[in-house]
Amino acid sequence: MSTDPKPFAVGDVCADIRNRLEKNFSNIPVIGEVTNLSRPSSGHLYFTLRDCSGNDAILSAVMYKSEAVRLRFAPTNGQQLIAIGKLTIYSQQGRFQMVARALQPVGIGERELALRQLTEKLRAEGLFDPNRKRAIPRFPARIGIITSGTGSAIRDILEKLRERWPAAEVRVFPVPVQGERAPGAIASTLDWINLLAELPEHRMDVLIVGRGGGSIEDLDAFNDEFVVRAVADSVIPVISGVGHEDDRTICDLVADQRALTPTDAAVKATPSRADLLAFVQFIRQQLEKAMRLRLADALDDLRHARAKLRRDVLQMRLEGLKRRVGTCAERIRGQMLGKMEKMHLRLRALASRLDAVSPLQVLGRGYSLTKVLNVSGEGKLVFDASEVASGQRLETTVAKGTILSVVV
Amino acid sequence: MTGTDSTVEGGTRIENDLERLESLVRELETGKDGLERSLALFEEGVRLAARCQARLEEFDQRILEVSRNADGTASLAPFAHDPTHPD
Repeated sequence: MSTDPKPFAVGDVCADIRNRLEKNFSNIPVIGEVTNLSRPSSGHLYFTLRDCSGNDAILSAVMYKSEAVRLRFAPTNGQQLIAIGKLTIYSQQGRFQMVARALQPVGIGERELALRQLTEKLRAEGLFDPNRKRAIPRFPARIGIITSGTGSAIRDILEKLRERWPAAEVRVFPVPVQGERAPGAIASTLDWINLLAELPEHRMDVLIVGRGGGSIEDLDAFNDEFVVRAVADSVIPVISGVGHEDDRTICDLVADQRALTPTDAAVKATPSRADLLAFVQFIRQQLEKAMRLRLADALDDLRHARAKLRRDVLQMRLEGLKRRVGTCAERIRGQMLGKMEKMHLRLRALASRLDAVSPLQVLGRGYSLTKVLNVSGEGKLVFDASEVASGQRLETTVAKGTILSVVV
Repeated sequence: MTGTDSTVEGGTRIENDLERLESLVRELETGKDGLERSLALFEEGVRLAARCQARLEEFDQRILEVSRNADGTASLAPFAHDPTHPD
């Protein structure tokens, strides 16, 4: 059997297929729902067209910058549109893809529509109501993580938890996060954890539900109605951390706390040890400050008390002095009174002695005093009869009254 | 499972200690207590702060993997994450 054909080189096969493809599909319109849209800095537009007529099929597509800049609308994920272009082979990756020259929007895609409808239904039921949100405990002792047991999400979460709050015990509940089994597994694990919560040794304080980034379809489980309802029904607070920052799922809307990424979920679930250490330091300073103030107050009080004491002592001294002055005055008065008494007595004695020598006393015994009066009426005691002449007037004082007479 | 409870308890105690610390500072700041009481509060606060700090510095993370038994009970095992797994 020497008829074996000569083997082709891979590149030749690719080139051959590319030629045939480009010849037969040089300018065809394809309708589909846009997913995995990305526009890197190169300016090219990459996306996947997903069949929206019920077939399970996708077509990778690219629109180069030169065409993309001419687009009059911004394609978005979930949008249904018609891409016009050629089919080709991207031989470096052995991938068949479409190079689109033009895009025409066609309403919104089925997947996006379904998502919107479910969102609206749940919103009407009040599942996104802020009042339904449970508070995330400040110092969780046990944190449950519902995600894939392998991969970057669990690694990122554990790393962040160790850094921030290693005090918490972490329990991992491994679940598939994509594929057919994912929604059921996630929802039933959530329900089970809530049942276990009745046992103190299995009670979680907070749950993190999530996964790392992937394509939009990879996040489907977190838009599943069963998963969303299980999150809403959880009595344990749930933090949702799904995909990248721009990804948004219904799970995010219904969770008690939405995190942008799995790492962010770990941040939102925990206090930061570094912050707490700083807080403890701060408290310590506050304590010292308060104590210093308290001591200063006490010193002030002491100072006031001392001043008051000093005032009181002065007051007491003053009163003592006043009392002494009073006593002295009293004594002086007593002495003065005694002296005055004595003087009175002396006075009385002197008066009686004076009385004894008074001429009036002699008159009482019948003697009299005679005065000769001159022309002006002044009198001069008469001791010698020759001192008076005839015609002169005499005034004679007797014990009772006076007698006027004229000398003959 | 030795150590589980002490870890969990450690977190709870820190929470209690921090709350007590905050209330100590608040009470001390009002300055209404007698000097002796203030000093007692201060000393308790300094002791608690030191204890919190020590706790915060000594934690060791504990990670368990939970699996569900057929009867709905839970089994715990140390969680071993393979960091080389590509996801």
